[in-house]
Amino acid sequence: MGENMTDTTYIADTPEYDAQFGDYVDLMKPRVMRLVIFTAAVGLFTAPVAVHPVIAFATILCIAIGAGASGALNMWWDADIDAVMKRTANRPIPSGRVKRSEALAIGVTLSFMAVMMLGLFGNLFAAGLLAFTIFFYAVVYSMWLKRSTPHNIVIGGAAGAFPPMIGWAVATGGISIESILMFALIFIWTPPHFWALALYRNEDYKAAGIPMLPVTRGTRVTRRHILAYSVLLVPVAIAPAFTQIGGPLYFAVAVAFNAVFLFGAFRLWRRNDDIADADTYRAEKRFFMFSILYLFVHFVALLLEAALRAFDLGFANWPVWF
Amino acid sequence: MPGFHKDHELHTRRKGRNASLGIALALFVGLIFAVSIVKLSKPQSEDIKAPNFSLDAVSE
Repeated sequence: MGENMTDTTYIADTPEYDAQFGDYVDLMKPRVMRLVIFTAAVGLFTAPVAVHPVIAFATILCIAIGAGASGALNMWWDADIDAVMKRTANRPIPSGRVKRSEALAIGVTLSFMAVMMLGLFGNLFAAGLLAFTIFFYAVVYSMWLKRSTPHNIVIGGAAGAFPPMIGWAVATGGISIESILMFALIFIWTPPHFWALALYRNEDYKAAGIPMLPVTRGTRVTRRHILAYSVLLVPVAIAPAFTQIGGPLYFAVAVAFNAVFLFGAFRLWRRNDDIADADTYRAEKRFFMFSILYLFVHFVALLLEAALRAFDLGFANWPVWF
Repeated sequence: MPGFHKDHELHTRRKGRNASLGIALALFVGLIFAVSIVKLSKPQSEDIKAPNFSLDAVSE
């Protein structure tokens, strides 16, 4: 600090706009956080070990804060490309509401806090999984894969798939086939979900120089990949029905929604850019929106199965194969 | 001391942010308190007791 510096100098040097609390919340990607809270809660509540409601609330909060912190680190790293893309240009850093250094400080601080508190509130295994998730999203996906390979979203999707596994680990202290299947459901669902978006946001990704599949390999290959992953998703989505957390309700939901999802993917595969341009990517947009509902409904069905079991209304003779 | 000096506009500008942060910290303290109560009311797990621990020894 210079010797002539006074309180007044400090005040005079401050920027005209200060980030408000809401800007910091935006930095943590609240929409992604909502999905994380929901899937982590399903992982926790479907587990066969009861957790005290206060501990459940506190641990889910830690998982959400950890996810938000990794979102802040992602925005810190990606500020340059966020400014170029229409979809992200209004985020707190490119719009000038939050400084990059603030995002880094918030991301690092909240990451450490969330992991430490989850270790204290829950258990060390769950805390370790959360730490790995943050590292995977911020370093493996954001810093390494996103700008270097068209399969960025395939491997990076793992970061979004961990929350139900962490919720399950809070209750049980470990991993089992049920939590692996919940992870696999989100992991295999992520590529067709994002590639459908990339099909109609192709120009954005091109401008930012992100090697999304439609940019590097073309839309024909992308449509083929969406169909392939949607086919792969069917057994992965149906399998939880035949575990301890599944049941006839989940099975019925999974069959119905996978049939519609598969039909949507098949329709995208049959279309080309000329047809998509003519109706302003209507089918692609609908497929993207439906994919959000698809994932949500699968997890709601798992939650309902858990509720039915809690009230002894589960189907006693339902086969458990895994 | 009221009227000693007028607040710089910086203070009013940051009032909302500081108040929100204060509420967030208060909620965090409340959460720690609630979790502590729950954890302390549960019986201690066996693994953190000394091998020779017994309730009889404590009551004697």
